[in-house]
Amino acid sequence: MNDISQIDIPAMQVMIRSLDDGGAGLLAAASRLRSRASYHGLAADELRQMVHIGQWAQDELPGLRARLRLAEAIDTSAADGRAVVSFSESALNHQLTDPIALRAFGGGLNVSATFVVTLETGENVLIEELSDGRFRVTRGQEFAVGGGIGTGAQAGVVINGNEYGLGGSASADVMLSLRQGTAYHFDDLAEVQRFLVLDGATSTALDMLPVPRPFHPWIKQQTPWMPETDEWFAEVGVEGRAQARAMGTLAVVGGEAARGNYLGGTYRRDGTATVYLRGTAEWAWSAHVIPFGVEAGFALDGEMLVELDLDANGNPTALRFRAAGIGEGYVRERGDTLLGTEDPQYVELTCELPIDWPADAELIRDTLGGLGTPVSSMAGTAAARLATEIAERGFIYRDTYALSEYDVAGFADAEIKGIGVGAGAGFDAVQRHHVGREYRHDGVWVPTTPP
Amino acid sequence: MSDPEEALVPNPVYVDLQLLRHTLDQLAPDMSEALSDAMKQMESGAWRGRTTAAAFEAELTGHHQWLRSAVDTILGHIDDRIRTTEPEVPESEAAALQMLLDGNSGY
Repeated sequence: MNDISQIDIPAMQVMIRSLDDGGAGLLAAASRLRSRASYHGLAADELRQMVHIGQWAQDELPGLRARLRLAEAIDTSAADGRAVVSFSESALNHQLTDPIALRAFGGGLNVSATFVVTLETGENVLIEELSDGRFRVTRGQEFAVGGGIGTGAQAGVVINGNEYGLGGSASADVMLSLRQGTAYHFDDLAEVQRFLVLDGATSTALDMLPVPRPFHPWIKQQTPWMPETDEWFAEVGVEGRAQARAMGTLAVVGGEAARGNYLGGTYRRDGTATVYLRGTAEWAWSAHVIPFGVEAGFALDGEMLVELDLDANGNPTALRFRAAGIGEGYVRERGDTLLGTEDPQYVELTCELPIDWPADAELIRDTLGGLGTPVSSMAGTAAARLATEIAERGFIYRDTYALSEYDVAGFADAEIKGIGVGAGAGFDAVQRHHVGREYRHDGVWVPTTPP
Repeated sequence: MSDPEEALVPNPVYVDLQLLRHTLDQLAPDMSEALSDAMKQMESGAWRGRTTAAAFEAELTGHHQWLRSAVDTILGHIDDRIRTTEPEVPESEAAALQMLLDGNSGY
């Protein structure tokens, strides 16, 4: 049952001040009396209880102040002059399963080789500063195998050293990917740095030894400096990518689209787990008008995630939907940016429904069933019911992140007797910064500071 | 054993109990009414709710009522002890009691 709190902001402000003063006064008074009274063997129990009450009052203050802050934030956002603000207590006590990354830095190294099929492998590391000030380091390995088809034709002439031509090419690839890794939690950045140095040194040593890569994590885990693993994750997915390009004497036009669907899970040391379905989509287009040196383009990236949290007994505890999207557009003239965003931001929307198991079993079954046939009437009914449940007893919030990214890549391609052979290596790093969080309350977005 | 002819002087324990009583008299309002302002604000609707707020109010009320009676209880204990303590004792006994009191490092 939802526990609704009603806060009268001015009265709450006075109440908190009074409780703070009263609790501190009790502790001071009890402290003054206790040694003298104890000499006479008097009032020991009473004074002990007074200290307990004084401490209780002090302990209640952070929770009361948090309620006041939320009420003030709601009042400011709603701006309707209500004397009393209401909110759900569960919103106040709610802890995100996946902590907010205030700062995250990720990098990776990917190597691929293209024959008739494509093989890719890569390692990456992600460092996140969590909302409680701790750090999470995630080490992941990726493997992918796939195949593709492509076609192209080009014709042109060279006049006075300039190439003029017409042509086009198109290709499509499908990849099966496997991603797995481990995550570690650290109290401060110094521990993170120590871990990365020792882990990097061990990786280098193992790379120089004839030890197959899949065994590296197990060998590392046997070393005494390796911290205990906090999370394990694995993900399998199918990715599809298509691209086309047309070249003319005046312009080059190209575009690409990619889709991916993944199934994964995270298991934590405390026995809890999260299983998820993830879908990604990318769409990019660019044009280069050769005579004027003008380039224009845009890129849209989106991701949707459906997560189911499980307790240590395997029972569902929460169902969560996340959606994030980012769009970038640019116009450049001879390398100078005329229009575009240097530091793009993106918004992640999260809807979370706490699960009361097994009462919500039917809701979960219908929801997950609806994911398989998203356009059916049954899925529509399940979605409507889920939306109602989330509005009544769930949580909706949106986080804004600023993103910066850079990558370095090199590649080489050749054709031997009609078979394409290629290899590439790249390093990309992404830094994101948590800009803010808003909580959906009573039809308005309420800005909150991270808990 | 004290000399029957020894002069009687104020009992340091009696004096100390009176001092304790005086200190408690001074602190009593702060102690017994420590939570009364917070109680008033809760009663006027600072925070209302069926579960968490109600539990907090019940705990606050319980502590508030206990504090009001506890101060009277402590005063009663001290008064009882004062009544059963000799106001005056022989000088040598007073000196010994004073040494014990002075040795109470918690003062």
